[in-house]
Amino acid sequence: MSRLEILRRSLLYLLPAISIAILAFSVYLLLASVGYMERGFVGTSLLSALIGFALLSASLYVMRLAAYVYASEKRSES
Amino acid sequence: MFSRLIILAAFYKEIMLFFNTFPSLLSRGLVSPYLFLTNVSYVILLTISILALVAIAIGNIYAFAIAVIISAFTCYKPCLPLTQIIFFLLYLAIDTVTNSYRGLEHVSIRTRFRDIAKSLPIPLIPIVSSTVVAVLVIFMIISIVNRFTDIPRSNPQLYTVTASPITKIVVSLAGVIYAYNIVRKVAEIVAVFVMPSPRVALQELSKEKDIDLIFIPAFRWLLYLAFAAILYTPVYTIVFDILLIDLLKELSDLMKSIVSAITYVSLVILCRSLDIFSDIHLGVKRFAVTSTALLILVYVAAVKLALPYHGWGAVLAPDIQKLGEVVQKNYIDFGTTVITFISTFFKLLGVAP
Repeated sequence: MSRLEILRRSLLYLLPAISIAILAFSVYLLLASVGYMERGFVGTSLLSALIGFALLSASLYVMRLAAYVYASEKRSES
Repeated sequence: MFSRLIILAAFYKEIMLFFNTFPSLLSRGLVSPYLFLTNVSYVILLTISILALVAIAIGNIYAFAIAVIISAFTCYKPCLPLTQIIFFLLYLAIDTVTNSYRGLEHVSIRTRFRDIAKSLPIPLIPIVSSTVVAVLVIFMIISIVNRFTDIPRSNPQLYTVTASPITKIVVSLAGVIYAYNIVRKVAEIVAVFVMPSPRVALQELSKEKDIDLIFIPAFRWLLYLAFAAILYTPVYTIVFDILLIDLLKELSDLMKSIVSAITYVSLVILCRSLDIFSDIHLGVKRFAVTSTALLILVYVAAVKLALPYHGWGAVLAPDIQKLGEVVQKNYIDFGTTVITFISTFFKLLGVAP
């Protein structure tokens, strides 16, 4: 397997990796939002929840792209 | 024939009940039907059984589907009508096989049992995974809403805001809409991963409009609500206080509030269709038409205000000054309540000083 091929293969995993990283960060923000709400910081909590949900959407969007790239790659292998 | 038997098996209980009660209902005359119709559960049962009978009689798949959906919503036990759903899936499978293979003139279909067993859980995978993710999101929002009751202990001023059901309803509604979007996206992702189809994927990837999204903020419709509230006063003033004032005088207060609500909702829809807050999908043509229409509305209203003083010369000298004054007055009337509400709301939340 040539070096270029290895690079190409590793690039396939780039999108899922980005997506999962964003997902982890959004889950952290959502949990932090609940924590803020417990302590009575309402504005902070709502802001953090909003950022968390926006990041969740972004992560799903990247994952959708990754899914389609994966599916379109299937043909070239078989 | 076999498919009709499936429908009968799915709804035999309802149909039995229907045939048991229907003769007595007829024999008791016209008073008893009225008494029965006031009972909601009986009406639902009647609807389900009639739909099932229709499905048996003419083999209509939609009647069967609607009957299954209604029975899913009105199940007495805290569960889904599993037998009917399973029978419905069986019916769908048989329907697909008969429709698609009769056209190709196949006498028999040969399938391996392993393939059938493998194909059964595949449609369930996207449904289950997306449901799990949506339930997690809803759980998240519920836990935030439940914390609302803890707030007054640390911040007593907030009690009226957090204890009001309106806040909870708005937050829960936003959560449900968001969860619906999540379900759609996750189902799509999982379906593509489970059954990758290169042709569909290439089609999807070549759609530039879908791929090139730059940024769409979540909960954008809340922004549209606010934007429509800003636009609402001038439009309402121009249309209903100046142009159509004679018409509005005749209406009662209830009708006036209905008219203003309709104006507001249509403005929200207009803002939504113009897509002002996303840069890429800006509908240029619609935007031009809408802004021209607004300018014409302003001009016509100003002409009407100047008409008593200048006669037809008002066409050349529209009284925009006075229009501005009227709009400003209405802004102050309508705006004070809204702005006071919003500013106190944000002050209470601690966002604004």
